[in-house]
Amino acid sequence: MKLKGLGKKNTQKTKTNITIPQIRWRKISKNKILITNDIGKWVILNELDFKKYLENRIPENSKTYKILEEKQFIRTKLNFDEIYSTYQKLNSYLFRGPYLHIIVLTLRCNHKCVYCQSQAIGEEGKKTDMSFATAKKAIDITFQSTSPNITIEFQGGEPLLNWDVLKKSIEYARKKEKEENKKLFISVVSNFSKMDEEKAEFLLKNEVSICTSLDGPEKLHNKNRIYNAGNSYEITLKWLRYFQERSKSGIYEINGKKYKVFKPSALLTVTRETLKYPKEVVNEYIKNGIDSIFIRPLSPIGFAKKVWDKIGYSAEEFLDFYQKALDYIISKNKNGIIIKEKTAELLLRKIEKQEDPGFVDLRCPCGGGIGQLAYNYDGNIYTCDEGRMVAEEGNDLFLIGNIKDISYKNIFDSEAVRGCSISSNLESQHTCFRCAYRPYCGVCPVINCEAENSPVGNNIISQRCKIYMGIFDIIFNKLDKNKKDLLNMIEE
Amino acid sequence: MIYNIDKEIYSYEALKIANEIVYRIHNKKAKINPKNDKIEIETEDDIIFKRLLNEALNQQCRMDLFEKTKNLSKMIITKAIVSAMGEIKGRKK
Repeated sequence: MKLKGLGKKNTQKTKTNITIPQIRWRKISKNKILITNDIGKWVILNELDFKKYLENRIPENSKTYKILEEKQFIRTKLNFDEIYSTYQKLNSYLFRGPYLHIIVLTLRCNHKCVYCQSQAIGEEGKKTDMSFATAKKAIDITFQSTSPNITIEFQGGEPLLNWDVLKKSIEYARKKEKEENKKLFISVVSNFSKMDEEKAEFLLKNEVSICTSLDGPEKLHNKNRIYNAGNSYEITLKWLRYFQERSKSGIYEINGKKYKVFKPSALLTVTRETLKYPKEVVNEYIKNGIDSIFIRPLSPIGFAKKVWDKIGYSAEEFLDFYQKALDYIISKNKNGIIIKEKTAELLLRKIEKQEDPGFVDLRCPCGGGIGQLAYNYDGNIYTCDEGRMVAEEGNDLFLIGNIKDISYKNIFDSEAVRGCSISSNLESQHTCFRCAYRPYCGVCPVINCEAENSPVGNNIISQRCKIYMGIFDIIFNKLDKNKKDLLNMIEE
Repeated sequence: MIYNIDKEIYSYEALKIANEIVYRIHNKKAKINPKNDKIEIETEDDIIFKRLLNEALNQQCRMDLFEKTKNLSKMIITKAIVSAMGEIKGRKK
């Protein structure tokens, strides 16, 4: 669609018919300027071309002009149909309700991980176990979500310590799935210490996806994930291999019935100790046949905030680790060993394909409440798992209400959900509003609250902002220098 | 110590919010009183006063930007919340 003359009114000294729509820019390296627009399209220009672009001096018959036109950077040649559909694709979360529902079955855990609040509870004492009646109500609320696809993530503590309720909850959720005609994905996050054949069979029969923690090589894993009753690393690998073996064919068959089996996945928690071993951590994942590694920074919230002096690090230290690990992954990929880095994958799906990867942490507004809900063992509902974690330390700002006396619709009337949405809107964040990474990024009110004492936060001093800016810089520099290096991260 | 601040630079609202944030960090609050075209800030701690002004500037920028972008902000937030909430009684489909 061509709109002749649109925007000319505000343009001075126009030498061609180019006028500039709203863009954001950032110098990503010497002589290279990244420009982005609201629909997530981007172009990297050299300084001279950028200057020409701002002065409307790019010749219409040039290659640069054609690229700028195609990516909606020429105001007089905007295609509004494409702009609308691309915006909707990139921000599809704005058009559906919460799809991620985290159910915390217990705070009990038999591990004493250096970064986790569950270490204060221990394995004994069932006061922090969720009852089936509460779990049932949580699942009922889950199925009222307007999202056609739902993920229920059972976690803890260690959810297998509350096995009876986990088992009944999975059966109930599968029954509801049929009644409500929604697509349900169930996952269980476990340290495997209480796993046995019977439980594994049940999970496979119910098409449950299994996720565990693998913090790197044995010495590092066991240093982070302290388990007095055994070797956490060995237990993790034993069951990881068990589920990998079962997932090879993708189908689990028993008594003539066929069930879909998902590949088990593992999560990495990066502590100060991890920073010393970027290659070793990647090698550990490759060695154990895990084809994806999620390198995420540790958040200084809840219990981790209390021990930040021992386990935390600066944004610069994390970025150095991230760069080394990503370079190593790319070098492995070039040698035919396929392993993806999840943060890069999520960002590249936004940057390269203008897709919503369903990642609740980087959105505008954030996914708290509108993208995810966390149900604690006592029936308290929080905007997100991070909000629940800070509540364990006494900050109830992200508490929506209790399952006993709240309806699904009331959730979105709550101060917690509205406060989260308003405070995380990037249009009102003066640093984000102008940032070139705005179309792909998001802020976290919980981290802001913990680090800067306000849900709105102050991105000028935010470590989280520094980390994501750094990751975006790394990714865009790689896209500029050798795009192919990164593109296999988003190949199916 | 009493400091007089120009209302044209820092609004009373921005200073009040900033005072709460500084209080959560330093456990100390300044007294803030609007007086004609000035705002009076009373604190014994010079560092608290400086932190307060820095935070007030941050809040002021945010509030000024919100004034400019509020229509767009409200549209995005409303869309997100209405999509999550589903059908509202009395609202035409």
